[in-house]
Amino acid sequence: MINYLANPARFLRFSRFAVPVAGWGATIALAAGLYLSLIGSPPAVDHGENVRMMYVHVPAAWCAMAAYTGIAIASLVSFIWRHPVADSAAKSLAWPGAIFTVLALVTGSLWGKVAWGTWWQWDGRMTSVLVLLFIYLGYLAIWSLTPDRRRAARLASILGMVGWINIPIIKFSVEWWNSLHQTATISQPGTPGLPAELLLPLALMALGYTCLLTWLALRGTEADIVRQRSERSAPQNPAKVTLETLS
Amino acid sequence: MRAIIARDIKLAMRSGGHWALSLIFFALFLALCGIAMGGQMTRLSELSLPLTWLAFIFAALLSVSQIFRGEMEDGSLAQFKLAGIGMGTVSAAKLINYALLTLLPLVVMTPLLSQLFGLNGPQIAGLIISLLIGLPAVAIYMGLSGALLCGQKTGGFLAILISAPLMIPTLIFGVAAAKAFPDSGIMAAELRILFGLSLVSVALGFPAIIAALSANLETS
Repeated sequence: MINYLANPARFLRFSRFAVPVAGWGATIALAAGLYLSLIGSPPAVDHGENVRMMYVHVPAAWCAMAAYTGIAIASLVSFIWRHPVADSAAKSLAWPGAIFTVLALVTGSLWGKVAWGTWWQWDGRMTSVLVLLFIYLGYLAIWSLTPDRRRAARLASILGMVGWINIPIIKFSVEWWNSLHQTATISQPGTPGLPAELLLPLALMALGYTCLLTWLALRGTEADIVRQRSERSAPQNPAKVTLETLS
Repeated sequence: MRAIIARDIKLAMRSGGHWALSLIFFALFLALCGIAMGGQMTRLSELSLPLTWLAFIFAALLSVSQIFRGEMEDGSLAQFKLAGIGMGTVSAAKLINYALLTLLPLVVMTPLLSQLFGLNGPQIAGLIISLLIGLPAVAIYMGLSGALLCGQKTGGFLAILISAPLMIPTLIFGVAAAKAFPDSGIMAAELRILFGLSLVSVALGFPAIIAALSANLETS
């Protein structure tokens, strides 16, 4: 799969098929999910109407972590095999990931205000998501460090892999530290989980967010490939050689 | 490797006190903190552990560019590579140097400066032990941004952006370890976690430093 997509032309052929799938998937899932989560679903037992914040908050946090994990995997591929497409993919996951992180922080803060009575709390999960945002910013900054694309890609891939250490910290922070933030409700075995009428809109929203992230990343990668191609084939002035004879 | 370390120490001695800059910054930062807090000893002694850790990290950040950039610019690194000395040896030597010449003086200075905040014996001991245990992690993460940025003239600000997020666990447990030491002694759980963090950072960061240096040495 990785080898197949390493060729930019084949990647473009693949993404010509994948982009509409992801784009329409995002549109449909988000439209249905938004209707169900904001209007169609009943308020939750403990949270009341505030539970509707969950449908925008939880998928954003998932996508923020997924995007960074994608960056780390693409960085690994780029570091080992030096695939230029992996560089483009890692690069174009960074902006959407950073924006999803901001979205998760903002919606979480709004939800925290109504649920816990505070905008911000220095507990494990919130702190580590904030750290994730800073890691995204550092990762984005290192791309603009040098005009030499190959070197920038190499340095960014190193930083991308080192920064991945934060992802397990985010995931397990709620279990390690005593925290206001609730533990995983859905994936944990033995807990009752969410009732189905709340789970369905959440699943739709998660699907929509993931499709949106995929769409953004694919379009970004396409654009990056095309940009590189045009830079490479930019008309170069033919070298002029003048021969002067010494008289 | 020993030759590189010895050479760098000699260079630092001859540089006319350049190495003392971060020391002065460390002292100045803590003094300014004391002044800004209004000089109330009770409040200060409570805040002094986090403030000292912060000052330590900022002082370390201040000299990030000294770790590799000079060698990169004058071509010594390329010479080492041509001479067949592995990048691992070179970066280990440079990091040990950084730890000896920049970080260790800060730790040595700490007991003196903690008098500004009226700390007692066990508190000072805890602070020093936590700083010493956290020192490898600090050196590694500073070294990482130093290695990533050493090919560029600018980018001092970027060092903060790269190093600071990675430093946060060390900072949290460093301060916690310093706080826990007077009560629970050397076997405090926080100290052990800090030690673990230091080991993880060396295992994770050292190969990354080598890779970053090699990437910056590549001719493209």
